[in-house]
Amino acid sequence: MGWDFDRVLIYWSNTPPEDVDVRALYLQDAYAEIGLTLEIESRQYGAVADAHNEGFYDLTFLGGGSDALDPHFAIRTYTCGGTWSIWLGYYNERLEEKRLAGMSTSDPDARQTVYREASLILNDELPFIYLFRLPTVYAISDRLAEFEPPIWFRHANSTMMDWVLAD
Amino acid sequence: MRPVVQLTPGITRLVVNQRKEYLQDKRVRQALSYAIDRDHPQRTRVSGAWRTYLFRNLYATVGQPRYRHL
Repeated sequence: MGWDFDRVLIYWSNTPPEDVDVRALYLQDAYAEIGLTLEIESRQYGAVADAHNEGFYDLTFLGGGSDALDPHFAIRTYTCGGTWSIWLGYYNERLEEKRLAGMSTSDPDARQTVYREASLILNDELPFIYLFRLPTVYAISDRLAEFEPPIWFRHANSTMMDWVLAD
Repeated sequence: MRPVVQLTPGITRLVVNQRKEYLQDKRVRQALSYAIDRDHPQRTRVSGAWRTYLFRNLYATVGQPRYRHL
C-alpha cells in the first residue's frame, strides 16, 4: 500500500485546554504500536469545524448523532454531497443507491437486505471508524413512576406527561 | 433513588479525512480501525480506569483541581 512511516498524522482535538482528551492519548499509544506517529493538537471547536470545512485535518473524534437508530436515520450521514460526505471526502455511488432503495420501501425484508448490503460497504470502506456508545444515567426518585428514558437525553422531559409522582 | 441507564443513540467515532491522498486507501483506514481495542477508549472515558492514562502521559494535567477527586 506504500504507506510512508515517516508521515506524522495530526489529530485535532476540540477538548477544552484545561481538560484531557484521553481518547486521543489512547489512540496515540495504539497507533504507535503499529508504527504510526500521531501528534495531538488542541483547537477550539470553531477551529475544528473550520478544519472540517477546509479539509486540512487528518483525524478528529466526533460523538453523537443518531447512528444507532433505524438505519434510514444512520445512512443519511453518508448522503453523497451532504455535509459529512464533503467533510470526510467520502462518496460511494453504490452506497447512495442503497440509501435511496432503503427509503423507497417499507417492506421489512427488503429493508433488511438493502441495509445489510449498505453495512457491508461501510464495514469494508470505513469512512468513519466507529468506537463506542456512551450510557446516559438517570437518577430517578423512588416516588416517580412511569419514567421512560427518552431517545435523546436532552429530551428528558418528553415523557413527562406520563410520569406519576407518589405522595 | 434508583438509577436508569440508557445507551445514547449517538456513536463516538474517529473521523478520517479522506480528502488527504494518503488516507484515501481503505486499507489504511482498516489498519487504523484494527489497531484500536474497542473496549479501551470507552473504559478510559467512562470509568476510573482513565486515571491510568492521566498519570502516565505527558499531556496529562494531573494535580489540577478538577482531577483531585480521582
